[in-house]
Amino acid sequence: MSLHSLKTNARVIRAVFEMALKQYVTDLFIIFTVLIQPLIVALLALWMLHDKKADDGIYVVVGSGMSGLWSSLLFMGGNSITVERWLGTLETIIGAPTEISVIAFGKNLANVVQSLASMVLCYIVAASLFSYNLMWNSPFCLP
Amino acid sequence: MSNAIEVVNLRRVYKTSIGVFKRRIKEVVAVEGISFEVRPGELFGLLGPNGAGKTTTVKMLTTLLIPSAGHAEVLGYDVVKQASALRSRIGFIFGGERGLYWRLSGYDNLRYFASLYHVDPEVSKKRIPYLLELVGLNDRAQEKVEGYSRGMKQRLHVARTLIHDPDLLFLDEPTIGLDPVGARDLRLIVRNLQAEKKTILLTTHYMFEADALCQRIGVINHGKMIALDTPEALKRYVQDLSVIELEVFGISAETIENLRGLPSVTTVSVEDHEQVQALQVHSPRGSEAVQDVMNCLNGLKIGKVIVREPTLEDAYIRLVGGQNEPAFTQN
Repeated sequence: MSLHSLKTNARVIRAVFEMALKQYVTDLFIIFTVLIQPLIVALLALWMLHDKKADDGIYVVVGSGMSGLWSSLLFMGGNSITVERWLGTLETIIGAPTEISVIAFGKNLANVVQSLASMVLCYIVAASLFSYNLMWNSPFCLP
Repeated sequence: MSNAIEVVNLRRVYKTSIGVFKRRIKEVVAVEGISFEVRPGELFGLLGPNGAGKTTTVKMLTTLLIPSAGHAEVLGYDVVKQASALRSRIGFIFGGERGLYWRLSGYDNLRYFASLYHVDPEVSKKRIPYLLELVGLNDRAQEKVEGYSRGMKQRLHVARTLIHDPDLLFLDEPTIGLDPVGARDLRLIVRNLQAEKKTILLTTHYMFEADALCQRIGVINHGKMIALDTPEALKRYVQDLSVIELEVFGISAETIENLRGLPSVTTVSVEDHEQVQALQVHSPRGSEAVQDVMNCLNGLKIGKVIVREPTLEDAYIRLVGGQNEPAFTQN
C-alpha cells in the first residue's frame, strides 16, 4: 500500500469516525446503552459494595463499563451494515471508490470510543459519589 | 473512446426462494440480453414499466450488481473487472428520499461523501458551497436532513452525486414523488449538467420529462430493449394514430367493450375519477372516428371531447402494451 493510499484511507477513517459519532450522540437508544444502562448497573453495584474494601470498586467500574461496551458493540457494530441498508446509503457507500472494510473500520472505531464512555462515566460515579480512589497503574497495559 | 457506455447482450438473473420448510429456488430474469450504447455528452433516457429492468441495468452499469452474462463498458472501463477504477468517474442517484444520513446536516453529508470519493479536503471546501448553491440549499446547509422536504433531499442527492465531479451520471427516477415546481427545478439542474457536457443516463416514468430532456430514448419491457431512437422518431411510430379524450358520466363495462369492438378503434383506456370516467381512445382514423365513438356512447352524459396528436406517452403505451418483441431499433 502506497503512502498516498494510506493517507487517503486515514482521511476516510477519520471522516467515517466523525460522522458515526455525530449520529450516535443524537440516538436515544445508544445514549441508553452507553450511558444510562451502565450507570444503573454501576450505582446498584457500588451501593451494595460501599462498605467493602476499596479495591472492589474497580471491578464495578470495569464491569459496568464492559456491559456498556458490550451492549454498544453488539448492537451498533453488528447492525452497522443493516442500518446503512435501512437508510438506503448502503448502495451509495458500496458504489464509492473506498473499500467497504475501511468504512467498517471507521465505524467500529467510533463504536469502541463511544462505548468507552461507559467506563469513564462509571469511574466518575465511583470516585465522586462513593469516594472510591481508583487507580489505573498501567494505563497502556490492558489486563 | 467512441462511446461513454457500451452494453452488449447484458443479462441478469435473480434467484429467489419460495416456501419456508420445502424451499424451492426460482429464477427471475430481470434483464434479458439488452444491447445499447450512449455517446459522450449525450442525455440518454431509459423508459419502461415497473419491473422492466431499468434499475437492474443501472445497478449493473454502476458496478453495484454483477451481470449474469454479457459485457458492459462505462467510460472504457469494464464494469466487472475494473469496477474500483470506474467508481471514481461516475455518479448515481436512485430516486426517493433515502440514501442520506438524516441525523447529519446537508453540509456534513456532502463532506462525508467527499471523503468517501477521495476528494481533496481543500477542493471539497470550495466545491461543497458551490454545489449547495447550485441546488439551492445554501441557506439550509447546516440544518439536519430530517427537516428537509422531499424536494430538498432530492436536490441534496444531486449535489452528493456531483461532489467528485463525475464524467457520467446515472439518474434513476430523480423526480419521483416531487411536486411540479420541485420536479421542474430538478429538470433545470439536469439540463444545466448536460450543458456542461456531462453524459447522463436518465430513467423516468414521466414521458414529457423524457421528451423534453433526452436526445435518445431506449424502451425496456420484460428485460428486453423493445425500442431505441430519438423522441421524435418514437412519436412517429404512432403518427398513424389520433387520440380522442372524452369525459363520460357513468359508463358501463358493456359500453367500454362495445367501444373496443369498433373497427375504427385500436385501444381504449379508462380512468375512473369518482363520478366521471376519463376515456382515452386511440384510432387510426383521427377525427373521423369521433362520430363512431359518439354513436356508441349514445344516451350517456358527455363532459368534453378532445382530439389530439399522439405524444411520446402514446408511443410508449403502444410499445409496452402487449409487445415484447423488438418493435424497431434505429441509431
